[in-house]
Amino acid sequence: MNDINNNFFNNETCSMIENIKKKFPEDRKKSSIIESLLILQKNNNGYLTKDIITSLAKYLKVEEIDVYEVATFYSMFNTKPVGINTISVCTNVSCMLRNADNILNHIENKLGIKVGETTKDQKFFLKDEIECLAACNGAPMMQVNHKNYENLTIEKVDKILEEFE
Amino acid sequence: MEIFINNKSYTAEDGETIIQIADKFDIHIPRFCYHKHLSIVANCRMCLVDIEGFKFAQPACSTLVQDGMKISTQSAKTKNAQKSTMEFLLINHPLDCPICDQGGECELQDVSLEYGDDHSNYMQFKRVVVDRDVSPLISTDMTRCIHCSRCVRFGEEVAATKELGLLDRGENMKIDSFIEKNIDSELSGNMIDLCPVGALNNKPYRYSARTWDLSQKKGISPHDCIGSNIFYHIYNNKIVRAVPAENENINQTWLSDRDRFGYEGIYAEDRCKRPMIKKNEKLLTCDWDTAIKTLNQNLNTLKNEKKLDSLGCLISPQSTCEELYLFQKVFREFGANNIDHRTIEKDFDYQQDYPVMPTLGCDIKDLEAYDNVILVGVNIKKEFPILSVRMIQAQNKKTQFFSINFQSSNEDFNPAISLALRNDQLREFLDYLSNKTNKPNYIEEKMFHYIFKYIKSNKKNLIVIGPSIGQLPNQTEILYSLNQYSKKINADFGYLTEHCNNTASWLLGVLPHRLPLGKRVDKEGLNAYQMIEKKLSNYIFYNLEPECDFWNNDLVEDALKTSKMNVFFSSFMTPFIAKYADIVLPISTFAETHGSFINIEGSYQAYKQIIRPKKEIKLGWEVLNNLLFINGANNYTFDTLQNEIKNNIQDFDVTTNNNFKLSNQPLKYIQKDIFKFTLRNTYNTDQIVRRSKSLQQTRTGKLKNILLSNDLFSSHKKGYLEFIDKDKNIKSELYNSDQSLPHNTIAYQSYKIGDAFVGARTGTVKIKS
Amino acid sequence: MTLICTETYSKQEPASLETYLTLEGYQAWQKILNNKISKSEIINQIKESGLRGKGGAGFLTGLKWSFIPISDEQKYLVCNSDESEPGTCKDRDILRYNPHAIIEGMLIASYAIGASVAYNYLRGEFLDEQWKVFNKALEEAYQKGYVGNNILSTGLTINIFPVLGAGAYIVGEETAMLEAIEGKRGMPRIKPPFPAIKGLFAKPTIINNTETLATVPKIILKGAEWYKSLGINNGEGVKIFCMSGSVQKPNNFEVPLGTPFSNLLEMSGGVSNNSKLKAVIPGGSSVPVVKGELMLDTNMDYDSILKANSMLGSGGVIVMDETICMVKVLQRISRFYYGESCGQCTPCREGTGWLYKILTNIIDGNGTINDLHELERIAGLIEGHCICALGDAAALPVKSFLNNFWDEFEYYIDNKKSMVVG
Ligand SMILES: Cc1cc2nc3c(=O)[nH]c(=O)nc-3n(C[C@H](O)[C@H](O)[C@H](O)COP(=O)(O)O)c2cc1C
Ligand code: SF4
Ligand code: FES
Repeated sequence: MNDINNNFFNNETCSMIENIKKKFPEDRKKSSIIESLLILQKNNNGYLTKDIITSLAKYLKVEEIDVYEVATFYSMFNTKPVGINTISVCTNVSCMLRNADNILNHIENKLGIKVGETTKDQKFFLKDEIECLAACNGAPMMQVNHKNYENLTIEKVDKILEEFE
Repeated sequence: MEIFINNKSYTAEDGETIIQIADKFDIHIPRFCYHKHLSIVANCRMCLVDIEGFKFAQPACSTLVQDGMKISTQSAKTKNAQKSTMEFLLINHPLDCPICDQGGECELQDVSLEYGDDHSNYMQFKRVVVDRDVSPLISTDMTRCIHCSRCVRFGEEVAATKELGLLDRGENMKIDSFIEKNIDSELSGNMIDLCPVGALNNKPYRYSARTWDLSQKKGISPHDCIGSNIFYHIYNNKIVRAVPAENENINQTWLSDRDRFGYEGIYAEDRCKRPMIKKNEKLLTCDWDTAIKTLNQNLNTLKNEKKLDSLGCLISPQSTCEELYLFQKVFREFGANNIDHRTIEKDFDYQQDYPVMPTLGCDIKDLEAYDNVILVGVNIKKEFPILSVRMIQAQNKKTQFFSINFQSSNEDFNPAISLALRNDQLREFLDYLSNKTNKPNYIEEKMFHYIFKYIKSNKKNLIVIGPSIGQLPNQTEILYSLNQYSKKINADFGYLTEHCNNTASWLLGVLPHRLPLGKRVDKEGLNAYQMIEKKLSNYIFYNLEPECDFWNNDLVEDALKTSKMNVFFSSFMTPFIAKYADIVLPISTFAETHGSFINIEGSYQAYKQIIRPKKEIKLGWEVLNNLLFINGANNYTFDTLQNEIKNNIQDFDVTTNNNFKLSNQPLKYIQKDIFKFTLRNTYNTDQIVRRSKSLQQTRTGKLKNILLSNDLFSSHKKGYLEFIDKDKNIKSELYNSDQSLPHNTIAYQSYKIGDAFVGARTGTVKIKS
Repeated sequence: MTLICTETYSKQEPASLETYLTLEGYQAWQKILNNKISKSEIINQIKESGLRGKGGAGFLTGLKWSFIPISDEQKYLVCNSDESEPGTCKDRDILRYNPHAIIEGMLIASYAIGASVAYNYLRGEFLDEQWKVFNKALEEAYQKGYVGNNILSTGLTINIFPVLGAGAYIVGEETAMLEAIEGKRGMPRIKPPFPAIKGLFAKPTIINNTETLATVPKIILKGAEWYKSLGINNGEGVKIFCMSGSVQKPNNFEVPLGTPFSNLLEMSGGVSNNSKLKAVIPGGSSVPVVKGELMLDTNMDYDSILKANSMLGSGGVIVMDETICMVKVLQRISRFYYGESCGQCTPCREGTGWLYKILTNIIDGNGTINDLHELERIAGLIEGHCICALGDAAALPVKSFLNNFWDEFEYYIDNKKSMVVG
């Protein structure tokens, strides 16, 4: 297997990707792209590189551009370096009605960054979350590394972020 | 069924879309994303039409007709829907048509004049997309892209190499290739045609003319035997651009990059511009009269002295039918017998049994009727890119392809098997398939399984022999074995040839052993290889580049060195010609003359002069005609000449052509040392293409390295390769391993002007340790 | 009140197989297998129950299933757990508190349409909790032999595979979901062909919402009439409503269809901020907003909400009190559709951004009254002109907000600030 960078494909990752492949008909190689990318991204500090995309394309025997198309479409994929922990504050209607904007402002001030940015110490990436994160009855809410934190208050947020310090 | 468009009744078939019916009856519906040879995505929303019973206008490109459907392409609802799409398209589109290269032929511009509003309410910033340099053939201006996705679908569906994709989403969506990747495919230029706006542009053509100043002439591709139809766009008697001319039977609406950009070679700096004669070891210009008279005198002297056996008459099968026909006629009138066009071949034992002319064995459009197509000695993607499109279409309809070549073929379609064999292995393999020998052990068992499972005599099979077979020293035995195998599996048998007019060359008798239409010659002459190897005293070369167009360019030089008279009918002044020519007659290229080609299906296609040549360059057929005339023959006009050819070939029954029976089993060829062969680089196949600047800048055009099979490479440790080819030492630093080669094999890139001489096209070499 | 999807929620270990089994779990499935109930009979029962899709469109589920061709080719079932309609958070609770109901529903649906493979597509953001819980439940179901090859020794094969998305609202649209499962960009397909004829991997496919499928087992077990009769005031069956926004106690409530909105409001503790009800978006942010007074007179069933000029949609009920600025709400909604447009259709790709930019201009204090007419006009140009309903979803809120709250928008433009305090 030429061109597959083994740094990204240790045994564990390979077996995970093989398990993904089993879910789909054999000739539907593209089907495994999304979940494989999630795994590879997680192993690479939360973002994808050209190398990863090329390697996955070779591994799955699909075109690089097919993988890249997917990587740029879905919002959970980052094709630029990001911080170690990803914070997504839901600001969609239900959360907005319960003052999510205050929560977001607070986090921005506290971390000294705007949405879409990463803190200097690389600890936090504040994702520009456009979607509703489906926890409207726990509004306002956020996800840190895709774990939900609901019914947020400023104090709660401070505590949560401390856990990641 | 009956449907109504603008209150008029039309008949339609089940499964047709509104836009298909409208197109059939010339009812105009604007569109951007729809293209009849691409899948329907209905994303541009330009073709929205009012259909009775629907609240909103519906896309004509994707809506199927239903009995009694009432459609209006004129109503206010239609107009408003189309106008709104136009408004949306224009908000992010630059409105600087005067400086856009597409100006004047932009579908967006046309449609917006007709359907758009004259002012925009949009006050926000326009989207700007940064461009990259992705190809020497295509320039991009992605800010103009309207996201119709035609280019992406072309890559996915037609070319089956997806190079462009859709990136990001929503308003930020853009078309691009993978990070830092270029557009390299052999069919990439079609995206220029498909792009309805100025986002993908013809790079060499850029800014060279405005469309309204162009005139258009139809031509036929001179670069391969498929015969794609081309429109050349002319400005000031200069070809500035080529686009496909639609021909459903041949190239549909597509063109390979070679056919699109190849014409640039016409404008090469080394064109022969004046007739020349050698005097006192110097080649000096002269007038045409002197040149022709001298040639004529020399020929008559040979005739009178009965020395015509010492004259070799060689012509390139890239010449037009008229040139080919007159060539053999002129020199036969003088009494010459050594006439041939097969300059890249070595082994001619097959020639008595060969059909009258090589053909594909079926029409191009009927390829998809086969269950199995076995390609031998040809890489379609590299050598016949336009045929890839057909093969992909056929494959989508369940035709299986099997490829056997000296290097496994990197096709864009997906061959069921792709084998790489040396020439000796190839025979063994074929003989085993026809139950004649033991099983070769270097082929994986599962390959045989596959072959025997699918290729059966009750299936519709086609064997296609590519031009690389012709280069082999054992071509006859391969043809023989293939012929045996084709009988066993009840296959049709066909060829793909080296040049655009090999079929005509055979049919019109440019051969040492046959007259036009396959009639026997009384006294058989020497074949092309013998003419060179035997070092004759006199040579006529027509349209041939001695450095590149022969089986062994070393031998050519040897022959030229010792001969007394070397006459070149040539469009280009190559270093060899400059050095060895005694008479140079500067003749037209394909574009500067009227002409015709016969493609591999046997279709005769004529075209009219596309551009006028420079003043002192003459049309090739005229020069030949002149020679006939001054010896007292009838003076042809182009029309009488063409009619004579047409009348001749009219009577020929193509269907009887294909019975090829080899009478004697050829001798067994034994391979010693390392097998070497020469790749047929797409952008090196003929003299015009070799000189196309843009094509030479592509990735394929730039290939230089000698390729070594893995076993040779791994046992070779030096930083350069030194080997003995025949008696010559060759040293090269440009070499790579290539895992798609069979063991013990070296592949040269094809002959190129300026490249190191590589001797025979196929044969053996030894690596110096 | 009869609970179906939410039945396990109040139990200890709601997601466990034991809990589900004590609540008649997998009995419908066993009944089908034991009594060899025919596919057509199941489809008929679902048809008669009046079960309507709970993902948004409210299409009759039994009718949808009956479109699947009777043939030997491979067929697929897809469960839509993408839940991303703003204001909707019901499927995520079913996934984490009652996963076995989904699995049983998927099995029954697969059986009824002849699918041997079913996929449950979960939005990527569910990867931490819902994904894990569902996978665990599925493992249990496999172990018990409810799913897999030779199910409960009947020779029947149905495999269920969960698949994970990676963040895209549009993938909730059913054909975009098929594209996503095929590993491509989630761009909706043109219809026809409908998925029931040519869907996933070009094979006949049925797509249903999580809640729809989780409701199926009880209907099979207790009958179509039983389910139908759960509704009140002309409603048929039940539905989960997600009460969010300006209410005291936001929550999910599974109530009879036909329940007066005022009852729901009461269940969620009434309007918050000591304020009065101003407006309600009754079915997720894609449906038109309704004024508070009118909503208080409306029952929560498909027809009644339609009469109030809106739609029941996904059941995401977003409540707004009088302190809420409608201009800001609309701007946020528009930002959402702008950011989530897949980009393929011209009107949606170009129009959603245009709407958002005009609204932002207004918020920034640079708007003119003409902008309001432009907004209406542009929304009109998008509506009905796109491949999927996202275009409409972006256009309808604009139209209805302007329609119902024109004065407030005018006020904002004239005074460069919101009419409401706060
Ligand atoms: C833009 C858009 C987003 C959608 N999002 C969802 C969603 O998140 N979840 C869902 O179940 N249905 C969603 N739908 C509806 C689905 O297309 C489809 O109608 C539904 O899954 C069918 O299931 P049902 O009949 O059981 O409701 C969405 C539709 C559109 C147009
Ligand atoms: S580059 Fe041209 S062909 Fe490709 S999507 Fe854009 S407008 Fe269409
Ligand atoms: S041509 Fe019909 S939508 Fe583009």
